[in-house]
Amino acid sequence: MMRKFLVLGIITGLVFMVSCGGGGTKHKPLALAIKTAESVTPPDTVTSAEEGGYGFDKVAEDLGFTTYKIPQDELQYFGDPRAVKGGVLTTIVSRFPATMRTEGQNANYVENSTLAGLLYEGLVDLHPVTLEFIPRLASHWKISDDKMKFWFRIDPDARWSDGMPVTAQDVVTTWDLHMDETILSPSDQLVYGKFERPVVESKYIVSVVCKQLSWRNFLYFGASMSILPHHILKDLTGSEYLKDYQYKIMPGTGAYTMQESDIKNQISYSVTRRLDYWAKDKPENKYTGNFDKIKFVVVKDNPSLEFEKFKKGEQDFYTVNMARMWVEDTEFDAVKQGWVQKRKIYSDKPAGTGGFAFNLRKWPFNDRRIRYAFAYLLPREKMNEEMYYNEYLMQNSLYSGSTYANPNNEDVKFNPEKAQKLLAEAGWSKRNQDGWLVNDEGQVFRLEIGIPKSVEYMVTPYQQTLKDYGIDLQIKFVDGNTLWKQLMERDFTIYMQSWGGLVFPNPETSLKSELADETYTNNISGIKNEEIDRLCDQYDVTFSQEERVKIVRKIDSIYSDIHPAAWTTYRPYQRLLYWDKFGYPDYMFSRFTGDYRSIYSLWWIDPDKEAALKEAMAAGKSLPQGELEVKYWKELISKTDKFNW
Amino acid sequence: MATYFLRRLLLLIPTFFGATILVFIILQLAPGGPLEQTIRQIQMGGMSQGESGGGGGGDMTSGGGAGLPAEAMEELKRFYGFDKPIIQRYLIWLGVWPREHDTRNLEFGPGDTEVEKNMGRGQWVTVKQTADGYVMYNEDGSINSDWLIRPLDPGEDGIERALVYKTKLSGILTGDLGTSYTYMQPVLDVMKPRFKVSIFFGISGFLISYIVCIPLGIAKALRHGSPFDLFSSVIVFIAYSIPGWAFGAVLLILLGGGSFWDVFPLGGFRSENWEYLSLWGRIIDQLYHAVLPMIAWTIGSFATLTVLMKNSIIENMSQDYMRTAFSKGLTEKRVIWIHALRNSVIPIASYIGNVIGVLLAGSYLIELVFNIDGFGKLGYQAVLDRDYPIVMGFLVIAVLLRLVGNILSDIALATVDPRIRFK
Amino acid sequence: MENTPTVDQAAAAQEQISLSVLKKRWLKFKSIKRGYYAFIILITAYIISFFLPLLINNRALVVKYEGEIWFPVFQGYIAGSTFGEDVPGEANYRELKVKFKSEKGNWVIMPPYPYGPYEDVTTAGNKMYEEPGRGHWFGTDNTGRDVFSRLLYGFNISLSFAILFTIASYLIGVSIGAMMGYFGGKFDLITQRFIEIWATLPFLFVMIIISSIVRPNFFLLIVILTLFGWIGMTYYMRAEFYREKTKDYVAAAISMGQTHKKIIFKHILPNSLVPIITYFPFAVIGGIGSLVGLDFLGFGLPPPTPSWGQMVSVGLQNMVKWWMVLAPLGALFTTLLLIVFIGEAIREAFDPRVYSRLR
Repeated sequence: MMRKFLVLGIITGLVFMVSCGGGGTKHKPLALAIKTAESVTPPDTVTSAEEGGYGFDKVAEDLGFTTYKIPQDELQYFGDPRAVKGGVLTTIVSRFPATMRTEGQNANYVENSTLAGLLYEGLVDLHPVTLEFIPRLASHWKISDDKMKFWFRIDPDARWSDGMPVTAQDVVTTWDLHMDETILSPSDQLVYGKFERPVVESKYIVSVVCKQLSWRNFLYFGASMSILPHHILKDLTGSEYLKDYQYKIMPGTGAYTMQESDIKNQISYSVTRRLDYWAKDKPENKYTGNFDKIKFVVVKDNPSLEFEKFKKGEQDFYTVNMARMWVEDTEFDAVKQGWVQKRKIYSDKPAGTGGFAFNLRKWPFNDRRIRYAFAYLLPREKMNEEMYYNEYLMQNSLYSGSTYANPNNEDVKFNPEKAQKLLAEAGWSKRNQDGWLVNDEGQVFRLEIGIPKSVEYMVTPYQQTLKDYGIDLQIKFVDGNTLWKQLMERDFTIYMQSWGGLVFPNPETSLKSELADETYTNNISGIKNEEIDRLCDQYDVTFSQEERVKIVRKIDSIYSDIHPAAWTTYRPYQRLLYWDKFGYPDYMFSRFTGDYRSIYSLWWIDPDKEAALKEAMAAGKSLPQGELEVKYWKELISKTDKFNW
Repeated sequence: MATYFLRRLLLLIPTFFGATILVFIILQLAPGGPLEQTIRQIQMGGMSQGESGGGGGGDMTSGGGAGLPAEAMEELKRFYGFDKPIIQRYLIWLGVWPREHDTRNLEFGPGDTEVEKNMGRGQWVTVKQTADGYVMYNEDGSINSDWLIRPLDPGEDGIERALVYKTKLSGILTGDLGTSYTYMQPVLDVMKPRFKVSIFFGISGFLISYIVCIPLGIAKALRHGSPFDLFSSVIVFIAYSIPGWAFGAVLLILLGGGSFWDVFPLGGFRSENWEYLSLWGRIIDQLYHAVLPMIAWTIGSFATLTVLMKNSIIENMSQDYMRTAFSKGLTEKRVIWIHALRNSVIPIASYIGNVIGVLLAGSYLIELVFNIDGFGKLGYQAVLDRDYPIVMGFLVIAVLLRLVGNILSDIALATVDPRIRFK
Repeated sequence: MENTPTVDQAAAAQEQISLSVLKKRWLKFKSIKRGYYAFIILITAYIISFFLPLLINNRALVVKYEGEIWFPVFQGYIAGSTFGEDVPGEANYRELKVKFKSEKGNWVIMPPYPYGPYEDVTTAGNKMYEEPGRGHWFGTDNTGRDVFSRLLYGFNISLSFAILFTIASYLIGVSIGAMMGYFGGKFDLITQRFIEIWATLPFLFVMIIISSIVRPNFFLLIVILTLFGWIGMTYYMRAEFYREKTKDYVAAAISMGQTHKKIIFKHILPNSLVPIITYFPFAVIGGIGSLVGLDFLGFGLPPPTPSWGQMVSVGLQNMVKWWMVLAPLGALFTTLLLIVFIGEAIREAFDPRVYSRLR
């Protein structure tokens, strides 16, 4: 008996130790925005203007370099002068990043690219409205006449967060890192292998030669490559980089930094605004990056808990992805009182494409008539009406809602007569005693679709409709990994998928014939079309955006004619809920990013609003609910064609 | 006794090898391994599934989509060990076959017999190709023999390639459970923070159910057939037939403060600022967070234990020694509490060994509902992500714990019941 | 052999005894009212659930059209055009009924509850999230399917699944456990190791592998779960057989040259039935719970099968539509509770010990 109590005693002690262990040190919460560098390297007065030092802007034109000076009237798209710095923005993410690195293995997730945008900078940036190149780390750039060689001149004011200057060598080292296969990120070698090794021309000038002509090269090298510090990377091999910087932050040039004490494994992480960000006084940066801290709290795979946390105020904003939730669940008390604001924000963010993709390589979808029949039998209008509260628009293009969509594509409406006619033409007109279509050989029209559980409600109505017309679509739940493997090894018949849209579409990766018979490429349907191939090649070397739009529209039209997918619906706006304490520019989201990520850079905490919200909530008073629909960009573009491209 | 335990230990050996080999093979059969997982992560880019076209992810540019370069794929294969046959992989995992690590690639251009390479931390070496292999020289010209070098299959481009690497014996037998594919950390490091969750819930759940069930069982036994007995039976069985996680989910919505009443926190194991709290604050905070998950965790566990306890007491009360005790003139209280109870805890004592099992215990659904990072989620996610080292680590630890648990049970049993002897 | 008849007589006598024992137990079971009524309710409900197509269905029971009588429930698919209806596939009998009201001589008899478990918003007249009311007793779900109808069809599936699963795993578990206990020695040792190894099989992985090859259906799922479910029973049976083996009647049977098979199944097993029967209801509960869990996680029956796990999971996602949560949880809870009561009563009825407090 005694011993038993002893056992229990030990166990109790254990519980206590475990739950209270971890030391008694008390930390005060840290002061918010911080200085990261102990000493900053003073301005470089030695390097001559010709070598990129101070005074370069005077000789730039003679040397053939260009830049972009943001006109006064466009500055409004780079933040709002009303912005106030300070405060904490809390947001929920559904995954704790496997690494805080922004390159290399496991750094391909949206969380990492968000971090890259906050902590690091590229050589150039894209204008948020016109998508022209604007300076970032590089103040000037030059493109050779044959468009095969680029030069960048790095701003001599640019400093790493540890105070070291940014130099041309950093660019070379960054490229080297991407080309190191031991960072275990094979797509990097694909993208950056399009260039020769960059060359240090002088301390601040770096040049790079492309292996192949493409308008995309400048974009990839200039805008999408975040520059990393040479003085840290120089002694590291790829695998050491992976290991050492797993959860350690390398100095960056960006407006934010991440402190190691803010990384709480699997629970949360945050970034902190830097007081000594080198470009903080530039007009385009003055009113962006306003929050002192942006905190990312992890809630794994539990959207309903995420929503509850928003309602409780533990998260500052919430984007609503499901129509049902938007219509049915967002009329809670705080919304009625106006404490939580509700917006539908329209932008030019590409809506992406989604639907049921067919495998053209095998029965039954190698037959164009069957493809069209399936498209005519998809009751998307009815589903939109009955299940999605008419929240969506019908998609008839690979690029719906964007300028790339070909307006002349057929608007495929639910049309059973046409479908039945096509099925009959293809040999499917008789029904057996169970009501299934059979062909002359007695084969039943039966096929299988693998889906993850979360999309079940979008597929069963289609299944029921097909059943009415005698087609047996058997649904099978498959886990994501298996599904993807089957998709990539072309071991599927029909597949449900959505793709995010790109501002600069990349049709070749999913449409080119040479990828159709290769496994593990994105030409999922197996499209082989010589005309598309030709247009893709042409697209790559067309430097005029206007011409490119025309080419993509042509591709879109051919694609639509082949009809390798039954498209579903799309939505040209974002649905947002947020606690009414923020200030934001009138457009709320920037034109092409068009989603919550704009909040990080453009919004701020408005102290007056915050106080008013507190007061209203304490007193139980209402605040005014703002206009639901924000159509700033649509209106602006309809008023002027300056920004129309 | 010693021989008994020795025998138990020896019997573990075939089980251990049988189980690990079986699971190792099963893992290879599952579609979509870590290699495909990596490619997927790279290529998926903006893919998602939703009711209205694409979700996030897709940005200005996207590099993925086309086929990936062969050398890079080789590198990935080597990283995950898939360049070796399965038997060798198993032996490496065991730690009886040398594991290659710190690999570097060498490329000899056409006609070159010499190449310089940064081996890391700025240590440059020169590798020369000779008739009988490769030789590595340090910067000062001395021969470097820390590394091994072997040729690789030449690519289509005709460039000769070689692999530089070190080896070590490192596997399960040397105490190395490997590195998780998804967390990129040693398996034990991934598991460590979760032990506090499993131990906390496991042991306090265990204690709560014992604290409730033993007195309840006794009370029910004493009032067998009374309305109290009936009523409490109905209650524990109702609790038994409610799925804990679903009940928890409903409670969280009702009491979490998001929609209805703000009584408890919205999930989580502890507050985020837990480390800044005072000791007392920590205890309160921990308990405050634990209430709802604990209800979900224990609600189903009362029925069996209560009934077991009750039946055991009833059985003992009709034994002869009870008659003797009563005839000695002892009070009913004393008879029940000292004699009956002691004999009644024997079957329960055999459960004690299971306590050790809580180290790895977890419920995926409850952890999911309450956003707690325990073993349930870890295990489930490891399966979905094909994180083999975690799955194998689980297996090994579970097999060991079961052995220790069984032995503990036996000891506990021998302690409470002097009649039991092990041979 | 001259003494064989005696053994048979003994066996016959034993059978007699066990029969009367069974009868006694049944009487005792009946006397435990809670369990007995639960048993009656559950069995009745389960039997009725096999006739659900007659009671709850969107297919008509009888249709009279142009002088001809049809029985769609039994005949299966009948094209709507047969009845002059302008629909693509099968007739919509609810609409047909409305239409026939004004036509002389034509009529439709629908089942008492005229909604099927599969029809959703794509069938004319169905709406999602309808609140419980006269039409849809328990409302409709997020794709407009009738919750009541799905719930009851799901009841049959859940219970059948659990019972078949339990029987299958008992058959295997009892036989192997019995052999282990009876033969002991090396056989026991090796089988024990085998079981230990088998128990470490990662269930989800096996599930993923199998479902990547074939589409899981009702019977396949039973087979897979049985692969993992039989182990528990072996422990009880093994211990039981170890104990019984040492008893005199076994020694007697062996000395009379009875075959092992006969001794195991004719002599020892009847004496070891108590744990089997006692645990049966709880194993059934376990089976229902496993199916719910699998369906909840998306490893269970393929859509659009009306399964409780699927209903619970969409219910929890639509918690504001309270009927979608309450209905499946309530049904699950009620069923489990009934089984628990039955199990309790069985256990008590099979317990040979008569408890009396001494004093």
